[in-house]
Amino acid sequence: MKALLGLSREVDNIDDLRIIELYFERDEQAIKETDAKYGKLCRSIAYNILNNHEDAEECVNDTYVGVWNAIPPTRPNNLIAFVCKITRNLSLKRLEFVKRKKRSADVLLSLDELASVLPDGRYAPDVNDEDVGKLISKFLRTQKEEVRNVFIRKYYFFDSIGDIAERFGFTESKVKNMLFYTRKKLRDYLIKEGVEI
Amino acid sequence: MKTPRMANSVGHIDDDLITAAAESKKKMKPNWMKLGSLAACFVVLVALVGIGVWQNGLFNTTQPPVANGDNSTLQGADKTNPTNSGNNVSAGIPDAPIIWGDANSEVQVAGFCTWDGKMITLSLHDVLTDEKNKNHLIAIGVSFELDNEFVYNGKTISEHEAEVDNAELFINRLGELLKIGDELKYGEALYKTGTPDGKKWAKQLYDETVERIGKDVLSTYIVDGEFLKDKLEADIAAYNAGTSSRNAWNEAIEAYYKFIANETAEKLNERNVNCEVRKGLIVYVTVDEFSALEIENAMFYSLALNEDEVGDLSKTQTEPL
Repeated sequence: MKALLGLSREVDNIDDLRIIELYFERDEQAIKETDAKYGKLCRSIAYNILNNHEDAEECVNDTYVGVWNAIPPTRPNNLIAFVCKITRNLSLKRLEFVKRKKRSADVLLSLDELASVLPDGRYAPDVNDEDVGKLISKFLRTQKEEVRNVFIRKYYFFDSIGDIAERFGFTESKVKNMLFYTRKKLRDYLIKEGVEI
Repeated sequence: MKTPRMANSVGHIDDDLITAAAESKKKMKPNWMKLGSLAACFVVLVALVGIGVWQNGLFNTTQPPVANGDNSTLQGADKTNPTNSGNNVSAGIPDAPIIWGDANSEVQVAGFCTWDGKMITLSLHDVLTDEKNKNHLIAIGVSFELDNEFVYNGKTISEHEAEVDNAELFINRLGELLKIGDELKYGEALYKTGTPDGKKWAKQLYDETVERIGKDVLSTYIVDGEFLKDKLEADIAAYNAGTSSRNAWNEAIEAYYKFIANETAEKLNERNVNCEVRKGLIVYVTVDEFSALEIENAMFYSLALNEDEVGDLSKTQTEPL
């Protein structure tokens, strides 16, 4: 089974390489292929953050423009992560300007939970967001796969608790508990690593 | 509204982790109306596997021992008669070679089938249907249906289970309050005027948070506008240090399986059926004897492992979060 999964990933990578080549050839088919393959995922991220289909759709379109502008010269090793990252960044940026009443309580709570792990004012002065991102990755690698995926689904993709519970076959209570303990452990880890002042 | 730096930091998580989470497959909910009996069978099988592991840790999923026409060549035959360790109810273990499961092989999820009206594992089926084994004794583990009405420490198993659900929800509420109590202590001012340090919530977020945490919890830890953080931390610590309801639930289930195994063993003794209770009930019977055997509340039968060859499976249990 693992071999099959590996094969499937390899095929995906080959597809991605082809899509990246299309970008390098400045072929607009690249955007169509990206949309066909990752459009649904991008829309889901954008909608989770923005809670509005129109705003989400605009963000996804902006994502494709961003990818088009970035490739070339960038040649991403991992197209899916590359596209997700752009969508997430654009959506979070747009969220900053969305009227309060249009924001989803879910995403506000998620952001609040993240902020409580390491409040802005507690970042050590010489630490940048990318450094902390690397530390979070390091921390997550020490966690069980399911814990890791639940954390990322919640705070990277901003899935709702209900969606995460359904995805992994857990109860909502279990998901909340997992997230709670992971945040707590992450906070301890970041303190230990000297990120928090 | 400014995006917290932590949210931006999470955006820099390594690509491979993002990919893995993005591709983590959804567990599809079966359409029961369409799938009908197929879905029901699947649920039953999953339950059987879980209960089998729970009760015995011993159903064999490996190739059955092979008899080469000579009893002495039976795998494990020279070390078959177990010592009377554990909760032996019956001392009537026959002094003869016994076919056991192979503990050294890789454990896999067992398949099930019906044999002579009994639900059995496929590995047991292989042994039972092999002519060479017709006159051998076979060690068969019995797995019972769980009786949720079984009372342990004054509560039924169902009640213990409900307490686990409630406790998990409760500790989750406390944990959430610990993080945001310093803001929630301002009450409705949090969305009306904002806090003195400039924090302001959406009313919807406030209402949902209050509802989720519960007014009972809030009134316990926020008194006269003061957040009793120390008390909350102490209560959470006390809860975590104490015996959790999950342990009590697990104990209740374990107690039931011990009870039903011992009770059944006593009844089997009266019928002169060779059996003993180890981690679960094991009967030592020939193919014909097994065919005639009827055990109340038995859910399925499996080829038992000789416990002397098995590690402490309880050590492999997943640690609670």
